[in-house]
Amino acid sequence: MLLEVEHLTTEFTTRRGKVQAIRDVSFSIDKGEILALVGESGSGKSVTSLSIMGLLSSNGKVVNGHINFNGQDLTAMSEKQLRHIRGNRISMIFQEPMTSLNPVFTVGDQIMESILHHTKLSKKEAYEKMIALLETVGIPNPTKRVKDYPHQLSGGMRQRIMIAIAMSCEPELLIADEPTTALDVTIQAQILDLIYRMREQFNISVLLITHDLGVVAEAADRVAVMYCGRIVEEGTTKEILTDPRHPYTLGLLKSIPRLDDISERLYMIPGMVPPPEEVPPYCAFADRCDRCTDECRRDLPPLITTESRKVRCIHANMGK
Amino acid sequence: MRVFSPDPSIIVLGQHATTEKINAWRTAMGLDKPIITQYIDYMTAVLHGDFGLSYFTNTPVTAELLARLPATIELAVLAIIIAATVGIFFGVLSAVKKNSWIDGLTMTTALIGVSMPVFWLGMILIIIFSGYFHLVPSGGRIDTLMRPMGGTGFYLWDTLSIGDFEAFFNALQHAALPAITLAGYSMAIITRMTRSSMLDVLHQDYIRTARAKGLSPVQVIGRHAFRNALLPIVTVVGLQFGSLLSGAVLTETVFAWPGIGAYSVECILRSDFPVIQAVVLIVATVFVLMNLIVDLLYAALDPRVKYATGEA
Repeated sequence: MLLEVEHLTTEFTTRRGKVQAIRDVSFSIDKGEILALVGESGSGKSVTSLSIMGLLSSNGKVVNGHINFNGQDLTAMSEKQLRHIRGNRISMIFQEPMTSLNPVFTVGDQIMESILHHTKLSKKEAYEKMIALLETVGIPNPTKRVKDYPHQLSGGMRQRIMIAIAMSCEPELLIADEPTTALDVTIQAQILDLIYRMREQFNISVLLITHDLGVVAEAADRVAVMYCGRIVEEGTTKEILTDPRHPYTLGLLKSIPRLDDISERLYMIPGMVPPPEEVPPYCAFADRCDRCTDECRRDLPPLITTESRKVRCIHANMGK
Repeated sequence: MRVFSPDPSIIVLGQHATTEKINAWRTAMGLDKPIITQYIDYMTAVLHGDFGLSYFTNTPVTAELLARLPATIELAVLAIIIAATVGIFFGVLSAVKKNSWIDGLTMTTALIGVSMPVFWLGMILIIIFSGYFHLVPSGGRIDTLMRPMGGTGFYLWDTLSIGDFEAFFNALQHAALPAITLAGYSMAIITRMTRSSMLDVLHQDYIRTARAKGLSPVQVIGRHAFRNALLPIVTVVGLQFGSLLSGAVLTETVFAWPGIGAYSVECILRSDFPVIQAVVLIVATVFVLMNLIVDLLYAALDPRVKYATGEA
């Protein structure tokens, strides 16, 4: 296993007291595997990724659990040790390519910075590496483009630049936090394809964070579904998409518009996601669930595990 | 000014002057003409580079001002250096350590700095540092005996260029208090501006990207954040410098600093119209020029700003 997250709990100190953004999150990623982390906004996907990177804002803190990366516990590392891993062995791309690049430096500067920071290459070698990298990520005319500033490039180009920065030190793990959300549909497909190709070419593992099940179907090997800071279901992409066990996953799938569906209105999961400080001590989905019984409101449902799947629901019919 | 100021003829000729003498003087100075004609005459002369003669000394206003300009510029440059260095340093510090005691202390000090009257700060500094500790002189630019001969009129530069370090330090001692006094207000403004600008930038996505690259806090703040925060800071520093050049009136008066500010006060008190008009004109021009310089700096600092060139 390249990355093993065990019982990770991250807490934020707010004016209204302490709030747990993610609770007891466990998952693992194998070498060369793409794991998709799926959930609505506020379900804790981004907090999970920032916890792994050690980039939580100053009021956030990992209070429990371990993050084992190649056998080393990231939660036990000093900031200095983490800086050596960030951008080097684990790198990250973000949702907004428009704002993720620094507007006052050329894209060349920003890619070179990362290479020079983590390797001992000379400027000339780093430059050559950068040009090769830009060709790999599909930037036409790279020797010209490196002199451009971010505002001179399109959204898709900027995301390619971000991927080039992320890939510049040949990381083992790439965390992609909603990498396609801000892009046009056609560009989305290109970027996903690029991430896929990077995986093939460099044998990296990818933690793909998204709320878009279409993206999941296209790119991921395995899927973990998050709800209210907890993982509620995990399995291979095929299993999750064709045979969802948790009512929340089912609801998510049902709310995707389908061409062969003739009903007038789209399915909607009733109710709302509770705010993080009001998450109940029992199943967080109980109040919105049509399978809900009294038992659901008694205790937190355990994570039922079979071969490749995990489900956090007592009505999951695992035997079916 | 013409309405409110006392009639200069009486001040110039004395209160016992005869009516004929007064009228003759007013005719000579053109004060008997309608105000519009006076204005047109004046502006025509100014456009030819002639600011007229001082009513009192009968010397060209240009010469009078040029003799005092170096003192004012020297003071303003010193003050803006102090204000910008200290202001930016503490601004960045308090943004990075937001809500800490450092931040609180800095912001409180800055608030006091903004609200404190300049002349009062000047007097307090004189009382403490020259009255009580006798560290520095309370007025003037340099000890008379050390005054450099000729040169540019910038004493710090003149003394340094001939290698007279004793005189240089003497001049620096004289300049210290007025420069700090003058810097006070700008320093506070710059600190506050730097802080808010930095706070704004530190929340941007590209700062997160920079951290995700594994850069150290110094690199993230010093390179990625500061370059972006610099734009509004440059604006404030530029505008403050413009107002320091023109607004040293109180400071120069308190410290008997022989610059344009103190001189213009003298001239207002005795209705020396040509001088006052020239000062106002110069101050306005300097302010406009500073704005222009700031705008030009934008293009150098921010690649997104490019001014049209040629036929573009």
